[in-house]
Amino acid sequence: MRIYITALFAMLILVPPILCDVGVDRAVSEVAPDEFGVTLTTNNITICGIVETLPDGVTYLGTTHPEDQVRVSGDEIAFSVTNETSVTYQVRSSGQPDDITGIWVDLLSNESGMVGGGEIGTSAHKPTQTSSPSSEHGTPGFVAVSLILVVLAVYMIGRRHT
Amino acid sequence: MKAMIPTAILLLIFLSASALASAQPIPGDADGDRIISEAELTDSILDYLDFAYLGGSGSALDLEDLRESAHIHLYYPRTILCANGENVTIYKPINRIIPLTSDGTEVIRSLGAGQSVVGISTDLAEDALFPEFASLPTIGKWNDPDCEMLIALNPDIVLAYGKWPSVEKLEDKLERTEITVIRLNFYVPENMTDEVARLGYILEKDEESEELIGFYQHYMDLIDERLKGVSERQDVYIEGYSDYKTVSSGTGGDQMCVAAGGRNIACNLTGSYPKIDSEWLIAVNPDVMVKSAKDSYENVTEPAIMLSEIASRPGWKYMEAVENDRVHILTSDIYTGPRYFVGVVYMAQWFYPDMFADLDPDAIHREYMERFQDVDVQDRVFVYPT
Repeated sequence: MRIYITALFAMLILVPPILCDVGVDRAVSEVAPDEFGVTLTTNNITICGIVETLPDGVTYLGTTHPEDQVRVSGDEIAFSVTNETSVTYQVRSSGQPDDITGIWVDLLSNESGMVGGGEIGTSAHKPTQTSSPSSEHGTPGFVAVSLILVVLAVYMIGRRHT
Repeated sequence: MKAMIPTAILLLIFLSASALASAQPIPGDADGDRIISEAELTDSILDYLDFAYLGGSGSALDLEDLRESAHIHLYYPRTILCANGENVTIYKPINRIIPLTSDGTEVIRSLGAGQSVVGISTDLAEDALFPEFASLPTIGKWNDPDCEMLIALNPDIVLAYGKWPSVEKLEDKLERTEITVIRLNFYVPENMTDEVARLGYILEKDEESEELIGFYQHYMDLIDERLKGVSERQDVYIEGYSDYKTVSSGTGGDQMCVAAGGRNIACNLTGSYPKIDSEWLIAVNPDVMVKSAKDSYENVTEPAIMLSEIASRPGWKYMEAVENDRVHILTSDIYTGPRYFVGVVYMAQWFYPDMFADLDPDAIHREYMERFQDVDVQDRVFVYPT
């Protein structure tokens, strides 16, 4: 009886984290001399953004991910991932590129983290800014213009009545 | 000419304000078609990553808007068939609702979307069933709303009956806005499940709607199953709110009667709510009579008087239903609206007392109110005799 209770407690403790395992893992394999394939596998994520940062000495070669879903800037590669469970890209490195770092942002939940596990800390991957410089929606200046018009109208009506 | 300038400016302000109130763009919808395509979402994601992590300086959605955009891409548009036969499409999550009807408001609350209600009709403001909405802005009558006030509240949807208010009074006046009119009745038992599911779908409350449907369908199925063994159905006369006016085939009252195992003696009469001839009814001599009353009662005095008046109608006292004390009063709270199933359980007990003696409609009513409405059932008289 005791063993069943222990097993039940173990399940209660262990199963929820397994069921809720959300994140992105990275696997690196050598595909040719000095060339490596990096596979990013998403777990329980439907739509996300991933940014990989390559260390010095590691060069980005390309990806099988659709071209319009990738953006490269220096040593950083950004991937837009929708309804896919893995992304693969290739790098050149004189040795096993174990020190690639990356972050992922799940866009259907409030989850985000480091590729391979862990929370996004105060590393170089912290967002440089937290809000957009120019929001894509809304009508910039509209409220201001409306306010000016209101003030103007009140002023004119006031003048008319005096 | 000078005198016209302030008027023109005020008009401009009003139009601008209306535009602001109705313009609720979908984040990331670059081409303005209200649909987030995969290409649009991809661009938004890459712009965000570029801006937030790659040091880019271009424009990007903030993370909250990006998440909303991703959600809309995955789950929208959503189209439902309304009670007026029109398909209506929703392009983004509904956050602001103005229900015009108590039936619709009750279902909204059952689905756990009450916090999205931003305005109500004056009728609802006076309804004791919805105290939490009493302080919300009102927009006029349920069948004749003030659309200027309605627009000012900037709702995503307005929930109305299939026929009322008329298109001229509602859709035509909201034509230049982004406000969508959803027409669902919630007073026709036969369509209740479909309508609850449709509202649940557009409110992203699918699980809640399944739970609600499962709750009342359990009792409907149970009654249906037991009635399979009944070869001779009870003859029932259903009287509406007006004296001598009954219900014919296809009406909510008829559907409830049939669901409870009754044979509606007026089902073949012409018109939905025909007026009957007293002599005809005396000749038909139904087994049971159900009189619907407009509102629940504070105490039994009023329904007792109503019952006594029915029994004393000329020639009625020798009718079997009257002689056998099988005349019942059923109030509108549990008649044809979202709580119709409570009324059906009562009716099933009245029609076949032995077969349904184990059911407790009052307890079912209380459970529904506590579980789905999050309020205690009002201490009122819903049926008489109790």
